[in-house]
Amino acid sequence: MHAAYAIHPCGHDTMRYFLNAHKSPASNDLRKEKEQLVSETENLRVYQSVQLWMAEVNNMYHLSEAEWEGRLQVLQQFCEAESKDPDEIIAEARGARAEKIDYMRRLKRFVKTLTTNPTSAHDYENIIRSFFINNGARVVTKPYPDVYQQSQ
Amino acid sequence: MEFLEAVGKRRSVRWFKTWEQVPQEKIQRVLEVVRLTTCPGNLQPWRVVVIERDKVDPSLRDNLLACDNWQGAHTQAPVWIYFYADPKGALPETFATRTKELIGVGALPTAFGWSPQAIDSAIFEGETMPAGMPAINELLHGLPYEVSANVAYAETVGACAVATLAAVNEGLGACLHMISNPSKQEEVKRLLGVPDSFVPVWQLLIGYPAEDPDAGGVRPKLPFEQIFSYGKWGQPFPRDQRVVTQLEDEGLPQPTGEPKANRFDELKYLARMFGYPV
Repeated sequence: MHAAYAIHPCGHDTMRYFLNAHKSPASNDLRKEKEQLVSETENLRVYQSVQLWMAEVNNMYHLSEAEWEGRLQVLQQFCEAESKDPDEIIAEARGARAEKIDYMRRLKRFVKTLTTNPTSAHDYENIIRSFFINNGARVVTKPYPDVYQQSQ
Repeated sequence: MEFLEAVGKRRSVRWFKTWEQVPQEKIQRVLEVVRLTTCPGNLQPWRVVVIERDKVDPSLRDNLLACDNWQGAHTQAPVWIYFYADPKGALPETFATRTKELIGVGALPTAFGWSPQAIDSAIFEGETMPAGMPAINELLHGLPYEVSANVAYAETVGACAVATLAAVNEGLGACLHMISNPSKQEEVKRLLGVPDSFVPVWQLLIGYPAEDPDAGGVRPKLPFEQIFSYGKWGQPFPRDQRVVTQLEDEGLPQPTGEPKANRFDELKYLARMFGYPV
């Protein structure tokens, strides 16, 4: 279900709302789905690694609640794909270097399940990379691939 | 640009307009300044390779970046100026050659005792120099190659600092940056065709800043009194606040201890623009 839920990296769940905007108010499906997602991200916030991530990033960049909601939804989906909670993921990633590299490879495959747009895929990767970096798991960061492309 | 203005404006710029090329004329102007940089004995041991990121083979570009762990500033800067030190540029015989040149142009006065014979006897025979002359016999006679390499390195660092100010003078952003991971230095030498004997120093990244050229403001600096002594170490040089104020008026700002307002917002939007994680 969640893989089909197009979440903008900035926290605006645009596609689903657009597709379902015409639904009757009597239909509780969308509301329940949103409530379920919000409650799932609320559950995510109890993890130490998530709290550290949010604190470290907000200390400098003061992201909006809407953006955090979007980020946490992506993290939630990544955790489901890995069948691990956030603290377990960080514990492994901070362990053996090979494990961390494997996470990054799986991350690349994971974001392709969310979107076919390479820029959006890069943005989704960056959410998880930010989670890793701010929890002390050092990972390579790169800009958008077209940073070198010249129009002339 | 006035000298103090260049020193005052200099920041290590780490966000560059990747889409804006640096005219080769400006690169040459920086190199011409480096060429005239001072160093003891006029040794000039610096050797430089310039890479224009968008004009080299993409595989060379990517290999150089990989050797440097894909550091963000390196990835974005359109021009990479690699500084190496040639140990042969600081050997005793090189010093002898360069100082004899300086005698010939009137830079080292014979009135102080300088002569080609004095140089040769001090450097190659270890003959003690008389009062009024530098003890180049102690400094250079029997100088191990490794020490020559260190001297060459130290002098090249000085050239890097001058190059940075020259770039600022051209209206460019600049950042002294490591050449590569230490474990990849030999790989970079191979990629650039640099002799094995050359000692890696720094690379200077230059380009047009994507960030505010003030880059968050003057960085934290050690207290004046901690650095400068007068008469004897530990007796602070007397610092006149009027001089500090004059310099500020002439373009040399003082550190405030805090980043500029909205600096972290700037960093957030820069990261998003280029596709880096926040």
